[in-house]
Amino acid sequence: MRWALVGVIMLCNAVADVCNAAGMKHQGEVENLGAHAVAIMLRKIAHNHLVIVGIITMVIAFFALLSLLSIANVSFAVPATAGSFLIETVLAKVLLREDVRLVRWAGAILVAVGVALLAF
Amino acid sequence: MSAVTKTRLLALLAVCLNVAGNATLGAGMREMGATFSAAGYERAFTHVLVVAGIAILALWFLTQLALFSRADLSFVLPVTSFAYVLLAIVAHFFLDEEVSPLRWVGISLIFVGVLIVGATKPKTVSTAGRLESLE
Repeated sequence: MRWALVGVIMLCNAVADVCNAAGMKHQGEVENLGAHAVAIMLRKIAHNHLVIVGIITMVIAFFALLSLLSIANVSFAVPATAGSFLIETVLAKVLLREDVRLVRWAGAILVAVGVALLAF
Repeated sequence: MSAVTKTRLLALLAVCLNVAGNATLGAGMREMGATFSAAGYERAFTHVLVVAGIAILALWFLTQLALFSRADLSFVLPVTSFAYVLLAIVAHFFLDEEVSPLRWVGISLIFVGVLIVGATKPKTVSTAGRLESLE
């Protein structure tokens, strides 16, 4: 059961981040975080299907994490989700066509290993 | 201020909001004790630190979305992982939590990973490139 929940969390986090990244790029660059700019951003998000899907999958991931934390401790939950860094880097390259070079791979792997070590 | 500097400052803001939100929420939930029932969550949502933590995390989410509009996903994810490093420092020095030696090694690896990715160009593809791949 716990690994099924880890799978759901990783999948939903990956879908959420890819959808949010793609949706926000589609929407256009946010220049600043002033009240007016944020109001415009929120109004656009209300019609941005990709970001809406991203938010829904984030909510699913959040409740799956709550369920996971009710049957496993944080030292299992945190490193178990570290793999999502690598999955999302692959998705960023394949789906979003980002220029992921060796340096970024090295950084992503170091971060993933580092997060996994937080269990100890 | 250049666009790249602006993006890096936005990433720093996202990290700070993430740490402040999680630390505040964590402190609030620790005062609440074990919470698993619907009534427990309802009670948690009236605790000032829990509400403050959620409000700060809502600001973090808006900042993260703004960051996604300006930088690659493969840049944002590793760079904002710096929050793990700050959270451990806050937990150790302000919340009196134990941080094991191996955890410090993990924190150091994350720090080096953030430095490596942070030195790369934040944005490598145009909006059109992304849309081509998704539509």
